[in-house]
Amino acid sequence: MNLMTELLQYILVIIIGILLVNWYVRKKGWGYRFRTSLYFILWWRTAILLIVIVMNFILELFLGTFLHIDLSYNIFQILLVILIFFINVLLGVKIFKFVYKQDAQESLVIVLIIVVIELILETFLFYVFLILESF
Amino acid sequence: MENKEGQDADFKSSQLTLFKFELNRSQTSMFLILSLIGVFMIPYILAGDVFLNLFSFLFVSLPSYLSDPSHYHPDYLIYNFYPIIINIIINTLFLTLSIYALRRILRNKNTKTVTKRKTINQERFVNWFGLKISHGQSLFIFIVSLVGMIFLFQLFLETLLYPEFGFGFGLLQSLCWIPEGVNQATSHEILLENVPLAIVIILFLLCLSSLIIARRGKPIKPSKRVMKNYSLLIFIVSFVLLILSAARVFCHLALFDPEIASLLGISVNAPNQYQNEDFLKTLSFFIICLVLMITSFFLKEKNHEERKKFDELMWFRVQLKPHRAVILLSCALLYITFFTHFYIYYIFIMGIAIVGFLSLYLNLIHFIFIPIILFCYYPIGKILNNHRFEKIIENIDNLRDYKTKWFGFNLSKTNSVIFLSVSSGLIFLYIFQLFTTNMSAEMFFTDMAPYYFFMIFSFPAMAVVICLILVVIIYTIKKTLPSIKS
Repeated sequence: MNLMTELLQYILVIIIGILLVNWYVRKKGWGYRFRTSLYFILWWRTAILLIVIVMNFILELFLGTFLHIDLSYNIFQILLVILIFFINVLLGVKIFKFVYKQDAQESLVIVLIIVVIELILETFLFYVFLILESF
Repeated sequence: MENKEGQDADFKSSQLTLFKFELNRSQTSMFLILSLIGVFMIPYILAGDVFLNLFSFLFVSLPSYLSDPSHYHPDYLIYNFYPIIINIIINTLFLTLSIYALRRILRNKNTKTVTKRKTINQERFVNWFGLKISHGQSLFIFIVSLVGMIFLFQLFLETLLYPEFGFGFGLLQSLCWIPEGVNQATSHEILLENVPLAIVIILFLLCLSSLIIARRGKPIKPSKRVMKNYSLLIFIVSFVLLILSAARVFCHLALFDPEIASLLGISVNAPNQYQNEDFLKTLSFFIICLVLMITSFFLKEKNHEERKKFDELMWFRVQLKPHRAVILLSCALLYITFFTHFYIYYIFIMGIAIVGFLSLYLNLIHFIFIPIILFCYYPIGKILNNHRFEKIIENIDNLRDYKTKWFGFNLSKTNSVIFLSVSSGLIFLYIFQLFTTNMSAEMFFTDMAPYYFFMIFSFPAMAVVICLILVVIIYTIKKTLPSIKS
């Protein structure tokens, strides 16, 4: 895990996410303020950032240091991504429900859109850094 | 109101034909699921063929050959180029078929004009190698034969274009190698060249005849007993395995029996403990397949058996409501296609180890994939049994009126639920693919040889294709999610 990349991604997802959530709320005609969207996206993304950091730290500590398992390219990384995807969507839906007092189904689409945008952004940043490093 | 009822009646009675087969609503939905899986999955495989394999040929194999042609085999370029092109052509063919089926199914709902063409009626049964099968089963046989023929043709073409390597290290080649010791195996050139070819020809002819037989049929009476779905699958699998094990028995006899060996011009080998053990295993396997084939003949049911109530449908103690059943069926079909393709491709193209710890029969590959495939088949068998799927579709359509648009196509409620289920199943698969592509790129870039510089473009291009597919999946989910609102 590269902390700089994670932070950059965190900031970008918050900027894009807040615009998307605000657009979605206005489209649905729920009449919430911009500040509510900001709270939702900040709580959600900060929680996810903390989970990612803690999970990486635990994996590094237990598997890398104690069990001497190379974490660079193995099944744990794939499992971690799938697990984080589930947590990401579930947490997004729960926080949305809590903030906007709406059905879980109402939030699923916007949460999925933001998660996929995050994945695309992550891939984009990953290749930008990788290509720059290879030069 | 009357007009609406009339439209509904039209919709329910509208018959879709695909490859001249008349399809009922459950068969149409099954084809919709399969064509969607094809439309979403094949572009990724094609992208891999183009951006990784074709680029590797254009930027590595071709320049290195042109720099010093005398250093290489005269047909070096053909050997490297043709397998890639064959793969691209076959995947494009499957993609075209998927798009064709998808367009036919989605357009069918919009058109009212009925063209009078000669079609294959639903109320019939087919006598397929002595088995009485229903219209739906004959449709399944037709599709399996078509796919099997294309796969075998690909295998045959690769053999022709790889004369030096024959069938490479695939399963058919593995069958000809008989173990002689802990890490030793024996075979003969005559067997290695001819047995795989004979198996391919036999299987190809079987597929071809099935393709023709599946279209022929006789009118069926309600009391007529036809094969059960799972017994048909047992028959097909055991029939193919019987042919493969018969080929291995022949290889044993050709290598270790003095009379047959002299007849074929092969120097006879002395039998030993390892060979005897393998021969007994092969013979047991042959007998098991034969018994399974015979047993499947007797597993029949009445064509119009009493339908079970929909409420009774359970899966691992989970009650399957109509929407859940369609979502489960779509996901099971998606993953059974993915894993079966992976398993068949792996054992036929890559082959399996026949010596040492891993044997032909007790191989780790079988123990990983066969349980997964059976696990995926379990809900499919359950939902399709006793015409339950037809009932499920009726239930969904009767719940409430719902329509949406997807890239200019009008989607009915059932179709929307199917689109949603397939998209939901695919999203996990593509996130997995995106991550494995990125991981491969990271591994590759850490130790990149200068002539593989083109990969700087290839991996991002693959990632772009996956991201585009993910965007389409999210669009589909967004459009179809309201269809499951109660």
